Amino acid sequence: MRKHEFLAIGTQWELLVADQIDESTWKKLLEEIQHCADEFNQRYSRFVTSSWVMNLRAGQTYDLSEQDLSLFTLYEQLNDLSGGLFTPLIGQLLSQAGYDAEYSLQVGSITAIPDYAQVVERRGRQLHVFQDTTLDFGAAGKGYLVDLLGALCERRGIHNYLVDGSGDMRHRQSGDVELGISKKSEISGIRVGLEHPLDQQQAIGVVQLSNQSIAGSASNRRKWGEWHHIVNPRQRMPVREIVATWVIVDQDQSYPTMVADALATALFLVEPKQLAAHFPFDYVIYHQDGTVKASPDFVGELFVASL
Amino acid sequence: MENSTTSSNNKFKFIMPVSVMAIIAITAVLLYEQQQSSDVSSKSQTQPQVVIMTPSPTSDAAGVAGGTVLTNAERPQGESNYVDGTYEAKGTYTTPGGEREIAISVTVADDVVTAATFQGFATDPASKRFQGEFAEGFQAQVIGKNIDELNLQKVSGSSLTPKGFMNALETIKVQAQG
Repeated sequence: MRKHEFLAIGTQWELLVADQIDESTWKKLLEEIQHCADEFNQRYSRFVTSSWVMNLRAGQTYDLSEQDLSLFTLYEQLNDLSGGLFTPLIGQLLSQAGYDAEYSLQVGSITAIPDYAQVVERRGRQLHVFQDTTLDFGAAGKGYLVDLLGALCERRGIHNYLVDGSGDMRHRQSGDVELGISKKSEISGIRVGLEHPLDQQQAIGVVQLSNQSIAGSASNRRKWGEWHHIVNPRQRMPVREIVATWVIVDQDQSYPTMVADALATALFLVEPKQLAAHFPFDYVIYHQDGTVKASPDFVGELFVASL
Repeated sequence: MENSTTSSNNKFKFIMPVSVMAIIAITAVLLYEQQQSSDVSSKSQTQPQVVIMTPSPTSDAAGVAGGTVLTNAERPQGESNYVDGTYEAKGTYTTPGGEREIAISVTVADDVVTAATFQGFATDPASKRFQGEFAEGFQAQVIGKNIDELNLQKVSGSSLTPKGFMNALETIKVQAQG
């Protein structure tokens, strides 16, 4: 078992590898991971003022990479499904609310967010920008990086691993190799607790993650005054009815952690049924009143207060 | 002698809440399935069977299969009725598609049920859906359990907060106090 802890895109990460690999392969892998994470940050971070997403100018046309394309395609699909509520233009509103590159956390005047089609138009790999803008891929970016780092492992022949981007995880296991601290006799996979959104010392349930990805979204930690970072753009206010969400996606989906990450945020804005018609996923939603709703196929434990 | 009496009493007592809980839950699922599948089949349904699986790790009383269900009126008065601990019950019920299983765990402390867990084990799509809809319609109020006690390998929740954000928040707090 090899373990690597590192910082990327402003938060704590961990990689666990159960395959037998030699020292030089391991070293090369860690270099590739650092490089990939740094490039990712330079391109997509709203907290790096020189990043690509922060400097999109009116009248320009940008060539998109294969990597960009996956992100744009998912965002556009969820933008459609949510009637515009799930949008990469949310960055402008978050900045006005104080969640900006300097973390000023001073709430200014909040202006309406324009429609996606008013600001940019994508044709295949070309992105045409109509007005100066910044794009925010924060709802899917971390999950996407988890998948990209997982792909780097697999290119090096590693098929038993866990990439943990501070709670957003991709688990892979093949054959008899055991990952984590579980004993041979236990069910394979990783036992993941669903953190209680109001008490970080507690969990409200447990999921056995096996060849799946999980992503969570919660409004409890990044809070300032009346604000947190999951915002309904039409109400121009943070979402209050839902406090936390978790989404589990199987490995047969492409970029499952990215999809899980995006859906976890989308559940704050859209009824699960609307999303379930287009994405196969399981979910747990924790409401403001302490009730929990789980998807029909959710397999796991929830700690129920009374029957 | 006295020891064995106590032990059998305890057995007798802890069956009660678990059985009741499990029967309530399983009957609910069963009724739900019957209701949902009434147009599909009118085959006779069996009564739900409840089996007490494992006693508490904090209690050394043995688990008992089957079990008698006491009503509240029959409960012994004036003493602590149940041994503290977590009890698990597995229940089976028969559907047109065969036997199905769900599990309920109940935690008892000072005669109060402090926690219960619902877990679906269905593997076929129809039963998974029924159990899921039951769980969903149920809109359960959940409670937290201490992470230290859950033997977890990982925790998923809100991401660790970026350092910059925490620093900024601190600055604001200081400003607000000043």
